[in-house]
Amino acid sequence: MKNIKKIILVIMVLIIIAGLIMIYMKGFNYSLLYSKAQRMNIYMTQDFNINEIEEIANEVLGENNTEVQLGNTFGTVASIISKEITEEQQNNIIQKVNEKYGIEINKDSDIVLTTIPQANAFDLISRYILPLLITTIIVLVYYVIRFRRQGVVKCIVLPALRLILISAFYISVIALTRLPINEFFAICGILIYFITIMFNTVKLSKQ
Amino acid sequence: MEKKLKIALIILVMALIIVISFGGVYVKKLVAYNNSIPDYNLGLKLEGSRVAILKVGDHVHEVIYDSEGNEVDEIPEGADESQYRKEEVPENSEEAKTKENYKKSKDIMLERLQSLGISDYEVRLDEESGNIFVELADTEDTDTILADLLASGKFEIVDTNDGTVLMTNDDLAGARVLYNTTNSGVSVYLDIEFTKDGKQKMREISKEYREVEETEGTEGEETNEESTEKTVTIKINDENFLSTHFDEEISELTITIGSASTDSDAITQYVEQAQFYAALLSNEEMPLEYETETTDYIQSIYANSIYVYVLLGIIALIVLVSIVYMIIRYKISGLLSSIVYVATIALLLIAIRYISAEITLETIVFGGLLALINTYVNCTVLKSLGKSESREDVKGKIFNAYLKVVDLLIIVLIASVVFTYNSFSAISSIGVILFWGILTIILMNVLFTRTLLIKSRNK
Repeated sequence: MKNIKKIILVIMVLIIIAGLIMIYMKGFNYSLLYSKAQRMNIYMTQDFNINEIEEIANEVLGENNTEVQLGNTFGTVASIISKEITEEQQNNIIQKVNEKYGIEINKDSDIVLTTIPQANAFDLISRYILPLLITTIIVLVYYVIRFRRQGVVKCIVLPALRLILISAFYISVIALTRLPINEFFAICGILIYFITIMFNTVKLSKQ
Repeated sequence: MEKKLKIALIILVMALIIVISFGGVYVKKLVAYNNSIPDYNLGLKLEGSRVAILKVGDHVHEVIYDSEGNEVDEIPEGADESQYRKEEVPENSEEAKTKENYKKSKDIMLERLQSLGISDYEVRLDEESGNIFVELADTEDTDTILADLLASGKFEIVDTNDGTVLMTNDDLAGARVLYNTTNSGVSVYLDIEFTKDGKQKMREISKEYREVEETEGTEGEETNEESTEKTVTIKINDENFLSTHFDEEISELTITIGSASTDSDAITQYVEQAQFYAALLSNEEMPLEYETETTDYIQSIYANSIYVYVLLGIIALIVLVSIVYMIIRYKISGLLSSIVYVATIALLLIAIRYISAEITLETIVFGGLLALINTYVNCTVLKSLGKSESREDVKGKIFNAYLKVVDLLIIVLIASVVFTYNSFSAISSIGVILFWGILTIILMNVLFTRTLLIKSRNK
């Protein structure tokens, strides 16, 4: 059993090192909404179905490379996001939308193209650092008060190491597997943090 | 008989909570029936947001110089125009358009959003063009917030008469909003604090710029009273904010915004105004002028997205598996616990609507974690019972089971309190859901699960 634990630990450390190298060399793989992209807003002159616009966008830009959103509260703007929308692709989309709805979209007045900058992974994570740090300190103080008989190593060192190891492992796995960074990146990270402190607590309670 | 009645009553209460939570309470208003339970308050990522692209300003200002090279506002009427020189000056010089200044502008905008207490936002920078992408919740204040971000934040105290600059942003330490309640209502103040050097400058200015300087003639002569009022003008964003003189020596400025009022709308307006200036003066002056390139409302990709249904489906699956497991494993006790288990979720869903907790993707995910904690607590209690038949025995075992889970619940409560007080809504929403979730689990377990398990015993 002890050997299995050691093997798992070594594998985790190796994955963390590989992950750190990957982050240093290639960075993270950002999802479309978090990477540098272009947004093409089409100001429609008549009612439309957003799913139909999505079909057209997927056809022209590729399914994995496109997000389509409603562009205003009145539902008169279709907003297409893609890593890059070339002049030719814009013309294609306009032509297909015109054919679909029998309208005449004016490229100069009805289309607005903007570039969205890439999100910064540190910006996404930084806002979570302070609450997680404060929580960790209070939790460790609680462990020391509540489980002081088990010693400092079991109360502070092991739980803290577990937290650091698992957090680093999570980030490394994301970097290595090239899973896209999106809203769920931070949410899953915090979820893993909570599960780890809960695991630490249950383990200390049982001992 | 009394025992069965109590069990039936508790089950009825649980059923009522479940029906109210998932069905609602419909009350007739005018001609239609409306659900009187409030709606869920959806967050930015689930509803929609305002997306703005702010670009580095490229306008050109016309600056007029007189024959001596001094800058003047306009050529005086009838003056010889050839004596004046006009120059076109870009609002942002090419030298100022650097990556450092782009980054500094973004950081100042982030700090302003924090100072304004905005709870949900995203700011990104295109380091090449300097364009800044801002995403905010779409509310009635969004346009005002965007305007606040574009303000230069330039602060100056100048001599009203000759325009000599007496103080600048470099002398500022920060600004805050203060309130005072008097008989005439609530007064709102903007309190401007200065650095150590700034305080010294302020003291000197307040000594020099007094209300009236009286010069009396010498004895025997006719008394001469000359009133020479020296005032300063406080300029914010290059606009005159206030011209004033001082009655006493001061080291910080406290400016009344509006007048004392009892009208809540007026007070709110004054507070917003004061917060705007406080946010500007608490942070540095923008190194570049920015302007809005585009601003659009964008519906969330999660608004009708399969992701949300998948997440809700996972929570439903956790609940279903937990219930089936408890019923199969612990029979009647498991069934009774399951009823309270579902009612706990139902009660939590009512609570989060009444406290207007923001529903975000985070809330949904952590709802799943709460379902797991609820399962863990219930299973620990049920497991501890064993084959106990006596009520006294069950009471003792349930108490011991609670001791086993109490640390876990306290730890999650601690984390939830820390998270709740975070200014960023995605984090505080996690804290709120966990705090109310843990409280609901404790309350329902101690009040109902425990009672049902004890009452279900024969002896």
